[in-house]
Amino acid sequence: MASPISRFNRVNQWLLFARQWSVIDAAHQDAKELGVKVARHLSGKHKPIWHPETDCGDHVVVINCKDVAMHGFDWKHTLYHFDKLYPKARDDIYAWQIHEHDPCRILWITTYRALGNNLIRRSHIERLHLFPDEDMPEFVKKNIGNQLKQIIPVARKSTEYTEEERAKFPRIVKFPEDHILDWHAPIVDPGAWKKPRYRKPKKLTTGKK
Amino acid sequence: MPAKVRVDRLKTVYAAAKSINFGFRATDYPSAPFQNGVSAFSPQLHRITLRFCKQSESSVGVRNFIDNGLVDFARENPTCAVYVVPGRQCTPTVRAEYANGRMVHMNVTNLTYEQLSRHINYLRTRSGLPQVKYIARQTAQCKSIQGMWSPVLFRDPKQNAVELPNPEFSPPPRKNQPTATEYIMNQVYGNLEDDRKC
Repeated sequence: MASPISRFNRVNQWLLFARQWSVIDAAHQDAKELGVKVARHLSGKHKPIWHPETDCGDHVVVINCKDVAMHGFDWKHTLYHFDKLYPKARDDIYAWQIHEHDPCRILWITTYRALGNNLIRRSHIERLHLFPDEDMPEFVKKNIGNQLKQIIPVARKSTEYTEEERAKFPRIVKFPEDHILDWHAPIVDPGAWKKPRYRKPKKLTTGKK
Repeated sequence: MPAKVRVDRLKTVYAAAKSINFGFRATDYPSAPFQNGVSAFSPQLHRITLRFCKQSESSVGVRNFIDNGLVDFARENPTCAVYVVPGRQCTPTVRAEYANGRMVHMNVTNLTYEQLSRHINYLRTRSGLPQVKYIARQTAQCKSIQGMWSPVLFRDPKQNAVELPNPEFSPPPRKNQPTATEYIMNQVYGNLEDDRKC
């Protein structure tokens, strides 16, 4: 041995290389950014002892995957391409369709892509545990030893404000007594949409013949 | 200086090939044998042997050195034993033996007096350690100044008291500047603890 480790100090070595189980809440978080953060912990790059050949990645448990978010209209616009290199095995599926079918799949895909295009990601992704809500098996719950911080701050819902806080907030506009707020206004049924009848555009005539 | 990485390497080279002496590709940090120079310094050159021929032209430099420079060298280095070995029709060599038992052999045929004296001075100043490619140009005895990292070093100890996952530990860290919403909320609800500047 280069420098013998005493029985007293070997515990530090075990602690240094211990594999940790971390949990993170995916509710209201951007799927791509969360994938990057989770991939970083799966590969062990958050540790100063990281080396690609040292298997120093951690386990990550992601809860509330069904509440994961995407920026803007990405749920509608993002297409995921699938190809099994067999005939008739190509398909492009929208993100919202995948999420409808399997709520954990989108996060799995974003984490897999964030791990990089290499062979080691196949072993790293095995350590990712995704759950659509907060329910998880008992052995997973027992193993969890650390909680990771979210990326996007979750705003308070309007229902989470107390009546006192609402009253204390200053009014900018004074409404008249008979004013109805936008979300209390009755919803008017616009009726069925009727396609306008085509009318030929009139030719402009000067009057002369 | 970082601690040495203990890597679980996959065996991509035959085990026998690992025992090949790649001395010419050895790499190491700079070091001194027996911590020489830390508290006390002792010259590492213990014995120097000059082997030369009395007649041949290749030993001219050695003969000149022995005539003119050797006595001064021996006087200046009392800790070094100087041996002079004449031989017939032998190639002139210099052999230096060091405190750690290693030896350096040098062929000095056709070297002039100046060249030889430079080489002998080089041997005088060497430690007995082999020539290696430096991994870094500095070295340290202390493995870590700030202490070895561990996974629990920067962990919030409050996480130990409650069952995870807990919404208390989810919010991201505060930024240096408050957001517009936070600024207004601080003004409205009189939060004086938040003293971040906009």
